[in-house]
Amino acid sequence: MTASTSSARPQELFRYSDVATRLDAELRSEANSLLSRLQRFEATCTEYRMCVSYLPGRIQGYASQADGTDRWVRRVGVGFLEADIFYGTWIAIAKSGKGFLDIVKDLAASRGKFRLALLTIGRLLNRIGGRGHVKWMDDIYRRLARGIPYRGDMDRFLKSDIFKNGLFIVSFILDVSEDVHKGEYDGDAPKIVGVNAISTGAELGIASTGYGAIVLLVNAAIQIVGNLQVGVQHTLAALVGGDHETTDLLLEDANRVEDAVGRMDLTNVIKELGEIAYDVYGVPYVSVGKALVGAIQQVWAQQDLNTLLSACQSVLEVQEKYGTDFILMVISPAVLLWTHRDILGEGLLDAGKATLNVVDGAVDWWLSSGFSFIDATMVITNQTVRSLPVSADFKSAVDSTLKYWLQRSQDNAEWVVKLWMP
Amino acid sequence: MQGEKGKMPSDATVTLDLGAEEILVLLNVLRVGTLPGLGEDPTAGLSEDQLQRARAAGLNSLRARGWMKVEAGESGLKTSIDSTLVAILLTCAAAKTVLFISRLPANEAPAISYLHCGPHLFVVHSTEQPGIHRFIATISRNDALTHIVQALHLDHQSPPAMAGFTVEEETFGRVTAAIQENNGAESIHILREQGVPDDLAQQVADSISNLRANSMVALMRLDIQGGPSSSEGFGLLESTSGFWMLETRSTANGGSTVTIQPVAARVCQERIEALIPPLDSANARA
Repeated sequence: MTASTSSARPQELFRYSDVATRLDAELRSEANSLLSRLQRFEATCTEYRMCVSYLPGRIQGYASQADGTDRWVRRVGVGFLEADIFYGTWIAIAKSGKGFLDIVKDLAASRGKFRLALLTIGRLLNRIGGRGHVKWMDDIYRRLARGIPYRGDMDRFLKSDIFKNGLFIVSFILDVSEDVHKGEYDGDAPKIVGVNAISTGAELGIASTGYGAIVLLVNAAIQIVGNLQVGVQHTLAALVGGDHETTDLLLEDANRVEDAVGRMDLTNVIKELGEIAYDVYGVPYVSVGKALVGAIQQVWAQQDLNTLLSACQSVLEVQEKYGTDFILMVISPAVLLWTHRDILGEGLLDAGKATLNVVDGAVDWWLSSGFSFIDATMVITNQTVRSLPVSADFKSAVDSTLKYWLQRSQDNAEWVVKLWMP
Repeated sequence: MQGEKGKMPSDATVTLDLGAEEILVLLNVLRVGTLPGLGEDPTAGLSEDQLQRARAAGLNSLRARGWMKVEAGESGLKTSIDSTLVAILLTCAAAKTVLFISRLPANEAPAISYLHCGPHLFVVHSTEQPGIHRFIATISRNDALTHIVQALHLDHQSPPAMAGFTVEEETFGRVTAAIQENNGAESIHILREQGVPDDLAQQVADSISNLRANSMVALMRLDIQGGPSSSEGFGLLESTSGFWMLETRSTANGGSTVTIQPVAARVCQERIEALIPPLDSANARA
């Protein structure tokens, strides 16, 4: 990379990082010294209780936090240095993007009602063709509008292109990041961004066609529900305690479901087509790709909802300006599908049918559970917290109760596994 | 929990008292929308700010009791929660068989309990004081029955010394309406019209006029997958002379009748016992 293609100056970033990291270390050292002095001071104040020794802890906390930021600045500097044109900018972000991904995951985790609404759409999807679905639309839309904790005009927000594009930008970020970390395409950075830009464009195109949007939304819902279920199984497997054989079996099941959920991702198909398009046409569609990366840079610099919306607006404007590029991106996979229909057509159709079936199954799965009872990060335990004093018989009943729910979820999971891994 | 106050739980039964704020936290963590008895939305009427404060208070309370722990993990905050607490709430949230027990005393607050019959646990949920929920979890069917019997004030009462009778449900509705309007003569007149003997009509009117409590026992079989649900049970009128059992039955012409008969407390207990299903687990007790 040359300095002229990047607004960042890596050497300055390095200098900043080195100086700041050193200052943070000094700050922590000072805080330790201050702590011992304040503790002595507190001990001498016997008439009135003084409590000031917590202050150095705050300073240490700040120093640790600042240290992390400063080191991140250095990593970004390295990324800029190693990068090539705008792809490098993205790689720099992706390599150090854990914080942002965590934020995205947190946002997704807080959307319980939203997920339920999406699954309701899944139920609707199975009625397409039966003409019985239209009357449900208003109800579904209301559920969506109620489910998302957004304080503005939700109705307008959901109908806006910004919302739609926002979903796909997040998808693009996650997909590229995953490919970078997995070393897909032999680490070919331009190809990673190119393939994902094309497939994201294709998804946008599909989303602009009526029920296409529903298909993609439902597909996303399946992934969320499936991964949540895997989290539940991993968590509950620990309950079995000393029964290692059963624990291993449960974990094995969880891994199989995880694999099945990954296989059933409809976007895999779109991505395959995106790769073909990239290989056939080289490095096309730079305009929208640049806009996407620019949006990511904005969001990375300022991680809040307003910035995300602003970034989405930028992408929207570019799409309007470079309409030809965008349309080409959307059409390319469709053209490829047509020209390679002998090879791809039937497989894609099968994948589509299977996905629709899985939607129905996933909805039943969800509804038959009645609720999703455990967060993936939750640990049920009788070891790390003080346990209620219960008899051995009662404890056995408690474990049986929890295993019962595990069994119920696994019965449903088995259905999915059989469907995808006969 | 009673055990915390110095009284150790029996082998088969655990009693927990949870504050409303603690329940809000647990429902949120377990991703359970609501429990029978908490309404469709336990957070209804709370602003977002109030809800956050309530959950914060509930979380602190649970942490102070040592039943819940929140700590930083590699992938964010990790919540640890006592397994007994989880099993009790899961049973309440998802048991397919629930025995609903209500007792409305003449001059006191109504008392409502739910017996959730899970596959491995019975849980009796009631509200003993405003804002405090009591959960009695047991693996003993007898213990579960005992709590229900106590909730209905069933002891060793003999049946009232009267005969039973059956009338149309609509007729019985008119009888009770007349009594509520302090028109005892009208209620007796209605019963006489239906062929109820004079002395029996008089005794029934007197009993209903001087009720100690009006109770209901209903077993609900809930089909969570959206299939048909069903219920069966009976009403109990508790008078100074004993209990009257009320049962409704559908008739061929689409209407329904009410059968009112005096019963001994022991018979009521047997009827309730017959409604409670056994546990599935091997560790279940009689």
